[in-house]
Amino acid sequence: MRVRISAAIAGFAVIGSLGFSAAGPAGSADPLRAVLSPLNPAFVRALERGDVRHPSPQDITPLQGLLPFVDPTLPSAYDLRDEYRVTGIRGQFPVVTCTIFGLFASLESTLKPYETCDFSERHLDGGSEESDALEANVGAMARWSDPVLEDDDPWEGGTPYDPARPAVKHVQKVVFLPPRADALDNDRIKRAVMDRGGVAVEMRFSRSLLNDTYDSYYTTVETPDVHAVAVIGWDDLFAKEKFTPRAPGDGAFICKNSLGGNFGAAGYFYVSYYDAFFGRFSLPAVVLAEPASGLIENYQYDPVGCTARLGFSSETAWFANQFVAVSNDPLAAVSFYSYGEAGEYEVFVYTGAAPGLPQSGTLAAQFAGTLTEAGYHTLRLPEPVPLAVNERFSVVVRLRSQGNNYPIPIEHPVPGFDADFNALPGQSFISSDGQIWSDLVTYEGPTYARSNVCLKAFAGYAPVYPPAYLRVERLVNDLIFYKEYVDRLSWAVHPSNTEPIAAYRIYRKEKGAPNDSYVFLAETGTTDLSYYVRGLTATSAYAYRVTAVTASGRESDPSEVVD
Amino acid sequence: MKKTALSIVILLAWAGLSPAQTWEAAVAGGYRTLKDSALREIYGNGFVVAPSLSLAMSKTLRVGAEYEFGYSKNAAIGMFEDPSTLKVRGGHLFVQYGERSGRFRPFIKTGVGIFAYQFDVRTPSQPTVNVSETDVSFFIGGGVRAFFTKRLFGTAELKYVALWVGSYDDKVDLGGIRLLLGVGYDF
Repeated sequence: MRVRISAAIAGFAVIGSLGFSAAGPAGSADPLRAVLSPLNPAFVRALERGDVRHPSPQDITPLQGLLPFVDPTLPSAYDLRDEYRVTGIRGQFPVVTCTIFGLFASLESTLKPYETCDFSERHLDGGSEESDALEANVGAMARWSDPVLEDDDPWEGGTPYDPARPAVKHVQKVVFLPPRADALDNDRIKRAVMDRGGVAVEMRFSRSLLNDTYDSYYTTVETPDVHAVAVIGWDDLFAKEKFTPRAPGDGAFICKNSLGGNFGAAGYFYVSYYDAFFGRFSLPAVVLAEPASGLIENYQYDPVGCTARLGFSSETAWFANQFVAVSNDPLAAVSFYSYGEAGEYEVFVYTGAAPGLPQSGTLAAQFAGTLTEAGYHTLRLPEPVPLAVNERFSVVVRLRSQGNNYPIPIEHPVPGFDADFNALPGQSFISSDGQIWSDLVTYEGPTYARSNVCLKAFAGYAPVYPPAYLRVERLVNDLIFYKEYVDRLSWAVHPSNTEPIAAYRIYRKEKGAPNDSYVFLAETGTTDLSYYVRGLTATSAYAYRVTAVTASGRESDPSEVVD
Repeated sequence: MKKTALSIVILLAWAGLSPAQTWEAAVAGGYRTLKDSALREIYGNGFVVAPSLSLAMSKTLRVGAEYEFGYSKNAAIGMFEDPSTLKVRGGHLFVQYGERSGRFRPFIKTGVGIFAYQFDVRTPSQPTVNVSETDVSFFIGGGVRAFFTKRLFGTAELKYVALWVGSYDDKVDLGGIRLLLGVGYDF
């Protein structure tokens, strides 16, 4: 089904008499045919071989073979552990889902040093439609099913997957780095490590290839196992002789593994720059999140994730989604994926839109910008757009994705993905020129009957970041005849908050108790960023959470101390 | 310790029945130190008043009882500087040996007794810490009595009082040195 809607008739479309069944004028079909991106050859090969783990199905050719990025300002060695920006080593046994460990290693690292979190890999494993695939895991996080806290669904002894458990952070940005072109194409990863935190990277892995003397790894043999780790640093001077077999040159990434603390050097190991597969066949990724207290409504049709792309044989394409508001919270942001290293976008928001006509109604917001990296991007509207319950609104995007002739991100059934792909007419639209629109579900018969555009809209407000650097110290107040035990909580102002913080709230529970047993303890002002919990005994053991509260009464996510 | 106290009481009672003996009443006051350094840093030294009554047992030996009070100090304590009070008071039974004649009559004395101490901390966030205990004390000291008339005398006395009491995880000494000046009357 093709729908033509031009700017000239958009105003009339609000009447609603033009449903999407009332297509545009005869002969108005988009003259260009949208083409589906090819599958990643590595994914196809893994399917054919029956590999246990599959790399991403996404075509990554737009990001392959790019000119090396050279950054002469990078130091010769760097380690995020020295910056307190790495969380503890995890163990992925008994289930092999290293991709989610790699992604959470990245996410936990990017939240540091302000916050220390331990997220539940088990929950993401349950929520991801194909937990080996980067896009499926990003999809689960982007739809706000994850992350949840490890305490709430521990790796061992956890509960059955609970889709109703809300994410404790909202993943609003995932950076996809181009695969390494060669052994010296490392500066993108290094720059991302320094600027953002841990980078999730896939590699070919066999435990037997680890050099136990130097905890080093180097291979040119395509082992059957695809593994994911997180790069947390590098050492350009790590000697080539320390690898088995000897590497062609010096240099290694410092990687955080997910095989427990007994692996390598307390869970870490060195991977040679000259490894033939490390970060070479899939997209290294950096996962970033913001507080769940900011954007609170996620309008979306792509719960599985971005599994494919469409294009009109051009770097530029248009895509749109229509949603119906479920609350009065204002529209604050939109998100989509891009697979070009650079790009330009223009976003249009229409309120009071007519069904099936993405550019109908009132143009409530329009803004443009550039993208300097591939990935999942959330773009804030310059001003929030008011919405009313049951109001239909459209988000329309024109995207030029450099070097990528498939700029439209879609959720589309692909082989090997055991997911419930669903779509309905009137949800997603594509266009080559922003003039002639096609409803994706009916585009080319049944081909896209279960496909949707990966374009989300978010209602809500500016995020309220929790207190940073939360610490708890056990002190003893010596009163000579009596020893009073005291927990001293201290924190710092989170630098990312845009709204002034008016107070901090402290909650506590007994250690070991479930997280829903936290109770309010006290509220403090902002002059002294500490609080003393008095009257404790030597055996008292409490866990604490501290939230920031804005003058308007909005409360942040909690900060807590992770043991 | 109890046996010693009982012996002194019996001795005192026996002596009191003898018409040949004389009673002395005195009241002294002065400076006292606080032995425990941590407590001294918080509450400091102080002043006490000590009335006493004694009976001559022979030309050189007296037995008696005295009561000490007046050390009650308020101070901020602990990391939160909570308001607190330390109060120490109690009595000794003593034996005193000294000259019975002359204008200046030096003496030495020792004794045992029961002291009470009260310690309370008033905190805003929890019930008040309140310690009220008693413990055995002993002392040793000496001084001189200067007779202005046949019966009226002044006294100067220096003694060390030991009062070891249990704290949370150790013993602390609430005792200390007393430097007392007073007056008395020999009946």
